[in-house]
Amino acid sequence: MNISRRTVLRGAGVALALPWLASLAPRAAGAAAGVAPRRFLPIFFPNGSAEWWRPGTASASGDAWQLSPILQPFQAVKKKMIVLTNMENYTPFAKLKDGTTAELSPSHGQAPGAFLACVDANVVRAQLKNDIANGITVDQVIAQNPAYSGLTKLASMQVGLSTVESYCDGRDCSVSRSISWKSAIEPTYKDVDPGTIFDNIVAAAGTTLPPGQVDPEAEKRKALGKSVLDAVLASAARTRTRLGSSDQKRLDQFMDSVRTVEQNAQAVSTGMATADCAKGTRPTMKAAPKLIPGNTADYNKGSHADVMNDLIVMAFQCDVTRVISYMMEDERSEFVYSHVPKRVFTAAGSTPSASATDTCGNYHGAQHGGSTNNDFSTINWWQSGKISALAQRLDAIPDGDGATMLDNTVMMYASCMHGGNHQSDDLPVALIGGGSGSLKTDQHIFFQQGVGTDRPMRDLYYTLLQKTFNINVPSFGTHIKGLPNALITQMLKT
Amino acid sequence: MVRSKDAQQAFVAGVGVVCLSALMACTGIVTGSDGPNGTPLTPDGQQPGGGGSGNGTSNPGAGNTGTGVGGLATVQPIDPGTSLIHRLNTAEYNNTVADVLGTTLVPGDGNWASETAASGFDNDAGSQIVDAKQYKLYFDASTKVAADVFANPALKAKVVTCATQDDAACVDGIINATGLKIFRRPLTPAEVTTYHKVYTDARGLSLTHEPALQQVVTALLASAEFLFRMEFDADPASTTVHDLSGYELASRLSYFLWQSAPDDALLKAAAADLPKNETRSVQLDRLMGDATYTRTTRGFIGQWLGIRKVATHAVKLEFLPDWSPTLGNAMAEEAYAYFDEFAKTPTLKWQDFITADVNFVDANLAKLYGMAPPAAGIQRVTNKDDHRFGFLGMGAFLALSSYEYRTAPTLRGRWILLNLLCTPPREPPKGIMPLDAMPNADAAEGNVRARLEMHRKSPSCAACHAVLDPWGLALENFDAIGKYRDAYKSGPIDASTETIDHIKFTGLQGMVDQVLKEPNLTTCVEQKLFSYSLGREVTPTDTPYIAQVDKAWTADTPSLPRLVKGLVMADTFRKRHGGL
Repeated sequence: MNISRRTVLRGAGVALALPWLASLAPRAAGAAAGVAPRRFLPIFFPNGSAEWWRPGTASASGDAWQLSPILQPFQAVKKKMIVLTNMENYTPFAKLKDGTTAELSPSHGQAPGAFLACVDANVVRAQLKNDIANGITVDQVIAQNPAYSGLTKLASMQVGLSTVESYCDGRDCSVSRSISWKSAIEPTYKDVDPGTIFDNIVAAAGTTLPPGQVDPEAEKRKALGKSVLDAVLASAARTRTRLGSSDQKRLDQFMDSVRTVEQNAQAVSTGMATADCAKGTRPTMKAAPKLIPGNTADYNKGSHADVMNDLIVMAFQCDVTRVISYMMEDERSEFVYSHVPKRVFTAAGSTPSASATDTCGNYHGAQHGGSTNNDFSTINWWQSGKISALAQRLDAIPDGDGATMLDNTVMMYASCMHGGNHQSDDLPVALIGGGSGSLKTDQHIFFQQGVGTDRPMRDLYYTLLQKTFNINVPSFGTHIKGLPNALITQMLKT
Repeated sequence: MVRSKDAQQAFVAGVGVVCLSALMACTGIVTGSDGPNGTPLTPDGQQPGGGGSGNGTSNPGAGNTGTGVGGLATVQPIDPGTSLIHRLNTAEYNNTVADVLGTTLVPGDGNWASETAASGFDNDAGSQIVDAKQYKLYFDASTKVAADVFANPALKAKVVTCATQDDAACVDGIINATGLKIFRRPLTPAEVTTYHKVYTDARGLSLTHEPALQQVVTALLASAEFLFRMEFDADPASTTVHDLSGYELASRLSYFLWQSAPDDALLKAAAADLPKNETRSVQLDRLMGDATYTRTTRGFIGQWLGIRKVATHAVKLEFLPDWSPTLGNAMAEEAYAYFDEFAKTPTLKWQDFITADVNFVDANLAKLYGMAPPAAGIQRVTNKDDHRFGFLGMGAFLALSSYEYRTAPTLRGRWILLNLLCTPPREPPKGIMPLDAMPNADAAEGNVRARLEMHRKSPSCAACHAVLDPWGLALENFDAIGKYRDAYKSGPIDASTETIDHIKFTGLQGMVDQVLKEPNLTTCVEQKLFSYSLGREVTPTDTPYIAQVDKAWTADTPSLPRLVKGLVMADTFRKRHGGL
């Protein structure tokens, strides 16, 4: 059996209590050399948050800051959390008048593009004359960096829970349905089907069989597959020369995709055994047989979220990737949250609604139902619970040197808009995880609202790239006035 | 009166009050005389389906040859535009493998990449890319479809037309014949060599003749030349206008009218003289006359007017207990059947779409409409006592444009302007206060008109609501799923309304009479069908062309068959240029 060298190196005496996979937790390859692995897990929720998100009006740390009603489900991991208030993402688009007032309100079809890219998709689209255009996103900057790209089988993964065809505000839907962009013209669409994600992890987590145990039939299938894909590539390369430059780019992307499929097939199709970490049961749940606007007899959003937590944990445990982006819904989701019993919110917290049958409604409808309404607040609260559960799972897995997997991860739980007013200032933003020792957790960082006193998301990403992921980028994202990036020093350990 | 171009621009930009006057003050002018340069039109008066009388391909490349077919002459020099390569969308993929190879597999499903584009149509070339996830799905589908074909003796026999293993002529013959169907054009000699190598590779791995050919079919189906519809320019960088090849034209025809690859007859015409108007017109009639054309009529209306979303429209049963997904499905089927009549009947003018007193009901929908249930299935009825007529009186529209618990006159107004009239109103301002915080019984059963009137007292709200609300207020006799009602719980319904231009109207009839005066009623369907027929967004260079279409189309019976024919026979459909 493949109790690997890595397992031995991890050291003895660590009792594993894994809630789902009765499995060994592999220590990431880099950790063997005494370097903590670094993982990035941006988690997107659409439509912004209700006002019960905000934890207060002053910076504070330790016992001096308290979780807000919507964030109370994070109590178990509060010590590993940073909440940032008055982060903004309008600087890519804003029309700054006299440097003081700003157009803060991009639409559901524009704001999500900027979420991890901090550019104005409209501007890029016009520049490139391409419907599908945005900017490279921070998760992909990490995934493509040479320090990370070779470490794992999969450079990154994109997952999500969407099942509903959301309206894209008249723009190309790639922006509101995809938060990860490999380049300015390449959105990476997420997987929502649990079985598909499981299969991808299992395939990538395969380990090499001992010599002599190669399956000849599998070898033959592999050779036949390569023959087919080689013909596809040869033909496409020839056809490419007959096309205009825009179409040549599209065919380049097509050929990249063919090569990726070919490489994956060559890497895992034969002579491989399933890694221990991937020996869990394949989820039987289908994402949804077709696009649906609410829960059905065959689909429950709550179960979908639970299974997705399992899969994200599994992907990190198998160390098939260190970068996963997760869309809890597409932007402007109108999914009806009938699986969530409604709660009543006050400044002190929330309590279950008196009526047990009182459940939440249409998500986008709730967003526009007033900034403190209970449907909107409860949906946010439910999301916090799921993400907290994921954080707690990661925090239960040892990751070397007394650290947990959560300590070596940055989870970013955030939305691209404020709330019912669509504005892109005062965004709900929380970080969970220690960032491999780089982050000063258990604090609320408060910036004053207003142009110049609030801080751009591009600075947050710049800080993470520089200080957590050790990627020395000169800048990240755009600023309409061309201002340079600056570190958010408050979030860093000194 | 004739709406000035400026007024129209202002309207399209959604400039509040200005656009309102443009919209409401127009009085029934459908065919304006404000075309480019005042050029006279020369509609030839032919009846739809009358075949071609134009000058065909006698002047290729000039881009200004009037075709005269279907009464839609194009007399201006026009830019036919260009187009990106089209990836087959999921529906087209499923149709194509079924039609070309006879498989009963339906490989594309909900896990395939989402395809809705800014144009609103899933065949928009600009939105279709192939990332690695999607290519893996294509690759697996190629393998499965080829295996399915070779497991079925009858289907296999159509591909494996000779049995001599390793005979180059036999193998090349099969690659040429099957490749023609799959690539929708003859293969080049270099391509034949490439796919022949797949056969040779497979033989080298000790596969026999037929399994080796199965590999070849897998490779053809996994190729860019199958997955994308491609049109070539002699010089891809040049903007010189040129005719499409017969095969390229065949693909445009079949993917527009059948959502699938050209059949054998169309490929044969492509090899002969499809660019000739007479030949193209014959094929056009054949394709439109086939039941397969329904794929297009359903695809078009399903997306343009959102009929695809009716069955899954969110409704709160606690407020609207008559609703069920089955009822939603019946509403969708009604809209499809109704539109299908317009799409296929040359004597029905487009304006009738909002006036015809025809419904298609099953037992569920008949109950909602207060009609006697049909004996079985879906029945076409012309009931004068049901308070409803035309598309705007149908459950599909009335439900789609409502909240899940109550009607929203503002949304109904917005829906009509945005979808039926292609004039997107201004987006709501930021910091907007909703009418009611959340679904509740008072809101669901109360007098929404009274509450909207309160809302409109705020000047910042009034600017938009005064434009949008009148249309919806006239429809308040239909609840949020389209059931007729005389009163709210709190009292009687007043379906009279008045615009800020003081035009008064009442109820469905009054509202429809106003919509009939709106020139965009015809130009909107022209733009949408133009976009759908070419699989691209309407661009500024198309504007003069669409203006010509509108003049010619509305000069005679503006029926959808005439519009489809006019679009297909026009230069924008049969010419292109590179330079993109």
